[in-house]
Amino acid sequence: MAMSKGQPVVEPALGQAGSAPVPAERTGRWARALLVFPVGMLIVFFVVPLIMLVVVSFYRNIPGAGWEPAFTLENYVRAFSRGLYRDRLVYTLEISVLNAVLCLLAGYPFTYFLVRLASPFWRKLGLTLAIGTLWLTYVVRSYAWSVLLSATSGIGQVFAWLGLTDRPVGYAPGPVATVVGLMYVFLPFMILSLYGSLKAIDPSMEEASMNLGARPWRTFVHVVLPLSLPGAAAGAVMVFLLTMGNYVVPSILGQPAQWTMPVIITNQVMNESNVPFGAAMSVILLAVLGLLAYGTGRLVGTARVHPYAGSRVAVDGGERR
Amino acid sequence: MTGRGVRYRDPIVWSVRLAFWLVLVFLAVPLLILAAVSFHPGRFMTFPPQGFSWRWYETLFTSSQWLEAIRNSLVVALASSLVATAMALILALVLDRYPVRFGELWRRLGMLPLFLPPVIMGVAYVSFFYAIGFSGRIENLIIAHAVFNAPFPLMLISTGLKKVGKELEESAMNLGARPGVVLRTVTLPLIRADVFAGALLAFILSLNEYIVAFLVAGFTVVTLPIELFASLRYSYSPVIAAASVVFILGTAALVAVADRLAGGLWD
Repeated sequence: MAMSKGQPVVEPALGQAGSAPVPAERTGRWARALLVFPVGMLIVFFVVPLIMLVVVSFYRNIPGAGWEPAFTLENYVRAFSRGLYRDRLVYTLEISVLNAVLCLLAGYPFTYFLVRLASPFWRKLGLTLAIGTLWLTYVVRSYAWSVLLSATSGIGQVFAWLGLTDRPVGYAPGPVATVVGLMYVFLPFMILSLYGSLKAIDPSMEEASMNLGARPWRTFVHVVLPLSLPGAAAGAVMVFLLTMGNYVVPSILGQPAQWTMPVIITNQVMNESNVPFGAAMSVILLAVLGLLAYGTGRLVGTARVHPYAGSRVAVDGGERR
Repeated sequence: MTGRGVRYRDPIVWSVRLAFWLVLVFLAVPLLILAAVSFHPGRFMTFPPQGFSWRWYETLFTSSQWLEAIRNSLVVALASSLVATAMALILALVLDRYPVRFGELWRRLGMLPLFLPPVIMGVAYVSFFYAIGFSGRIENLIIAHAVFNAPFPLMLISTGLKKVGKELEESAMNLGARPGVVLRTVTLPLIRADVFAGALLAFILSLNEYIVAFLVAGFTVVTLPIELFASLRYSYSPVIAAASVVFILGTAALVAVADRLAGGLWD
């Protein structure tokens, strides 16, 4: 066992655990044998399926009868040559950038106000409310917006009652609903990311700036904004990557014009039963995401760009990497 | 404080305050409207509302279709969170306490599912399970969710082990306790809260997961999110809102427990 390193070595150890004494070495071997379970699970049910994804993307689809093993590039050729799929990829990138910007614009003032609340109780309550929805399935959160934006049960009724419209108008499904829904489900991640970096700023720095005569706006631009930039950038990248991979929101709140790559991929696999083509588009999406994550990770710092790193804060109330 | 007077008259400060309340309303209103729809007696929610009724909840808990979905969800979440926690516990404990070849590689591999978009993992499972001729089983979904959610208990248990340190274990060893006894009477009790919190998170995530479940076994094993999604495709019914409210309350309660368990350790 590693913990008994300081003790005299009784016998040359077996295996590669250089200096452990005999009894500990025996349990060490036993412990390492146990590793076969998690490592085996990860290799068989994680690494191998990912390899299969790449392999199947080169298979040939047989309509109505699964696939046949082959080595063909036709799935990739189809994905790149048809305008439809290129447009969907571009649209997915666009709406993901838009969502990152919107979440930043809404999340920044919110979080700034939240961390400056004097009472720890209200701060904790505000944070809990803000990120509480994070765990809730996308299906329920999207459905909530489809109700809220519907003509029959949503704000359309309120607008009609107020006399703003002649009769109730619905906004879901459609572009407005998709953008609002995506913002709703990913805003908590942005708030979490900003919370960490804004909380770390000492309020006395702002006071010092104000006491030296700087007006609030100047203080914000020269003191708060530069210090919170890493958290803002990490949050934006996180929201961008998560939006790129989301299936549920655009498929519930969007019309076909708002379908993103994950919707197109799932439709190919589940409705068209064309797994090889779905696999090829998955590989393309994964490559695009990998490149973007790598590029932005280098800009922002890899450890911070982490889809769920923020959720740790929800659990233990503060520690982050 | 000289800045005080300036702060409260400043229009920027006021707009930040306004933005705060707007975002809070934005976050809360969709969930409140679901509650309103679920208690509204009519098929459609009108404004102003007309009364209060439990009828949609009655329909929910007497419909075999919804009960089946709830049952499937609970089975998958329970089994997958147990497997995920067992994986995470062994991985975290062995890698932290014993020298292991490629230890860092295994830890990173254990965390990697977190970084992959679920839809891509779902298609990977479709390819894999179809290729080995074992499609659409509930076991597939349990395995997929276990591997996909294992990073959360892994993260919590690893942090717990680091915080606990090795001093107490070393004391026990020096007093003559055998490694098995140390594990049972010292290490495991110290990290118990992290293990439970991790298991609970894996359970919550499995319960709420849609796309991997849909791709892996969507046509044969209908979980609650799948049933919800399917019902809103084919009908508009306040039962969906009632199911959502049950879902929201259940998730909130579980998250609160997990939060308490994980947070309690650091108090």
